[in-house]
Amino acid sequence: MPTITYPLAWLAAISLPLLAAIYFLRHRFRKLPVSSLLLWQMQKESREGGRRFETPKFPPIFFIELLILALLVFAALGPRWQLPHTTRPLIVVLDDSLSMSAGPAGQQPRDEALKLLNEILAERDFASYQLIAAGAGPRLLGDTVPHPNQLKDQISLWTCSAHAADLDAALALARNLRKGDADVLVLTDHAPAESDLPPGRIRWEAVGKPRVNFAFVNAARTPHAAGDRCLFEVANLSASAATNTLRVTAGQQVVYEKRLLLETNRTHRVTLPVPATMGTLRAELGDDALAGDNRAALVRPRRRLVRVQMSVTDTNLAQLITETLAATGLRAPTNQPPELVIHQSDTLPAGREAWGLYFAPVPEKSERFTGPFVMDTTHPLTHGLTLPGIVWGANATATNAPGHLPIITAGNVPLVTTRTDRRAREQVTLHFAPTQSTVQDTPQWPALFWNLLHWRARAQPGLPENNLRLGAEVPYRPRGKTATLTFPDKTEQQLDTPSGEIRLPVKQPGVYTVVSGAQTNRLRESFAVNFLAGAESNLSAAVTDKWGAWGTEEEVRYEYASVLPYLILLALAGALAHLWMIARQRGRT
Amino acid sequence: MKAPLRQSLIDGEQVGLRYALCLPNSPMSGVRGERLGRRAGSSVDFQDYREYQPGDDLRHIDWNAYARSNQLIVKLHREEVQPHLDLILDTSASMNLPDTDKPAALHQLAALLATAAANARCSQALWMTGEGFQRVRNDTQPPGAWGELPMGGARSFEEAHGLLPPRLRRQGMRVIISDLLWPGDPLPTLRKLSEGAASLHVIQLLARTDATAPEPGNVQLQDHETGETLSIYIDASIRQTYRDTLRSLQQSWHNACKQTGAQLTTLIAEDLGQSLSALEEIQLLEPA
Repeated sequence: MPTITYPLAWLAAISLPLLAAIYFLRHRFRKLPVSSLLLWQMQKESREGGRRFETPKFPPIFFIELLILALLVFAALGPRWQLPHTTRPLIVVLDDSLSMSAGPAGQQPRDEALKLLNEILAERDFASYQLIAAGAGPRLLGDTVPHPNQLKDQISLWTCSAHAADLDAALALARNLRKGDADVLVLTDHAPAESDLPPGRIRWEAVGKPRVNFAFVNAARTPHAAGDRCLFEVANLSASAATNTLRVTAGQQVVYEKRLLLETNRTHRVTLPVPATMGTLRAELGDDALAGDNRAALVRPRRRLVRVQMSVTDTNLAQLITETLAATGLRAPTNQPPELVIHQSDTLPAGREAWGLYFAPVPEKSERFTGPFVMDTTHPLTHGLTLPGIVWGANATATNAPGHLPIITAGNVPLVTTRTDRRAREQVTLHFAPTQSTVQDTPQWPALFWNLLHWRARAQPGLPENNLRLGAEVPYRPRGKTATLTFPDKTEQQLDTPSGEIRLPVKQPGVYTVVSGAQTNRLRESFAVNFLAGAESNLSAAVTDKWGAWGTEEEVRYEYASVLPYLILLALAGALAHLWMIARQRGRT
Repeated sequence: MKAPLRQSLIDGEQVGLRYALCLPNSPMSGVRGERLGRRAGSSVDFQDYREYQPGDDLRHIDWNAYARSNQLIVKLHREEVQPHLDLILDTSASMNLPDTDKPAALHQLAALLATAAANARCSQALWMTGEGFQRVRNDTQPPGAWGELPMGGARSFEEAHGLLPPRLRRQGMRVIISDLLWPGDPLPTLRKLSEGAASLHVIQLLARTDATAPEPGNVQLQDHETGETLSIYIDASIRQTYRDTLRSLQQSWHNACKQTGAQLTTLIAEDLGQSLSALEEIQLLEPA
């Protein structure tokens, strides 16, 4: 397809129907009286045997004049044709996030983007075509194809269901694919993060529209001793104040219902204490532009308790630990078979699943460390710990044993170390002198034990969390070597688990069920995945605009050649033919 | 009568003064006149002898022959008759085609022939089509005294002849002026018109637009006689077909004339002044 330099020249096209009108008026049937129709008898008979109505016929010269006029009009438009040797590959980055499906069917940004893509593909040719879906990560929708018609199958894979659109990563992938020589088209619903696009031939087309949208931005269910506490957080992510209805149900029972009136970008939190026995809670918002973020589900969380065996000979210390374990609320009432053995023996505890917490012996005269303490803050044991201001008594001569990973140290003196044995059990060593320390009198002490029990609980078979955000990893420790995952649409997938932990393939929100283990020891758990992406649900910033171009004016001139001389030549040839026919007919038209 | 047509009569009369009707060689009949008739009469030209029969004029007995043969022999002389011209005019609507010289040419030609007949001392009668054939008023007078020739009759020549044929004088000259554009076989009509005629001349008077097909283009043809229309796009092939059809029609008239002993000629109304020689060629006119 050619590009048009002067679109206003289309006005000249009015000369074409004018010419036809002139010829029509000139060549309509003129009345001619004749002496008799006797001499036209043959024509009359054939007419009566066939059609009665005959449209006016134009002479050949009319068509030549029409062609000349059309050529001149086309020449006035200033058409430029793309040169074959200047075509580049086209890489289209498609925003695969949920916001591209906002709005009624047929008017969604995805529909607009497809329309625009088709227009661009009709306008000019490219050397090849490649589609990249930009969801939480970039995803190639298929191989590079030489013809745009072959993109249809790939476009059907563009589902617009992701909780985020990492367009930067997709652009980086596009650059890596073609080393920057491709024309990159970004089809999304929002403006680029920065006004300056990344270097390269990038054309950013936003086809979004601001719409009214309420969304769940947070949903959690935490177990407590008396029951569960459920949290739902709803935000108005529209460009203006709006109303919506929040309704929370458990089965047929309506737990909560309220009409919400929220200003733009305001949130509303609902905290519901529910019995631990209550099943899945489902929260729902009324219809708005984006349906995918109007539902959230919270399944009953699994209470993970750890079977702890106490083998501490020091009675004071044993009492301290027992009270601390009770304070965490994570200790199971039974201890057989033990999952955690707290001991003062330098031998490893027995039991295939038994982790160990070893209180290393401390001398009578131990050192009182006041800091500074060095912590591996990424380790599960140090989550939430702050040690400044405490006194930690420990053996000043203690050294880190080979294979042990220091977690907390006072200078070069290890205070807490861990080692993973060959059965993947964790052995924690604690250098701790209670009589020289104040740490057991601070909240850091039960926090340390809570971290230990929680760490151990997470290593139990099953899911560490039962209510998750879409996009978060869902680790799972199955019982046995296989697991069966049931999706929200009730389809099932068998998963092989050669290693101890796998990541469940969760792509859409809903309530899933995962089952593993033998018949006699089956582990069945449900978990909910909710679309909780405030940034993606926010339609107030959706916009229709364009940024960047595929080349400068000079590049475009280089890539597009004018066809004006050819049109003029054709028009001249037509004029000569016109002249010849006029001369041949001696002026009769 | 429209002034131009009256002028055509006067013009035709003036042209006709230069011509005389070319009388046929065959003996004619008619009222007593100045031309020798085919029967015995009272002229000075000897014709034949025959035996006397009672009642014969005794003045015609050839006494010399009686002396030689002793038989009463009567001497017969040729009768003297005045030749007669029946001018049969097609005044149907087709002869009154607008924007052509056809009606003017018809008037001019009729006046010319009437004047030429007078120059040849012929009596004349003018017949025109209408609801049958009718005599033109004052047709025995010079053309300037004729009443108007009413043009535009709805009946064609053939229909008018079928309805009421002209009462033509026997052994007279007959001249038909028509465009001959009517359907059907011309032979029956022509045979009736030639019956008892001393001679029959058929003058096909066409307008130039009749003789040549219209220019190419979209045309709605209207039959001036019946009002019937035909919309058609005329191109080279259609024009050729038209010419072929006209030629075929003329050929059929030519054949019919040949069978009836009539003379046929075609004149173009617009070229009438230059085509009077054709009338001499068919021995209808001769210089006076």
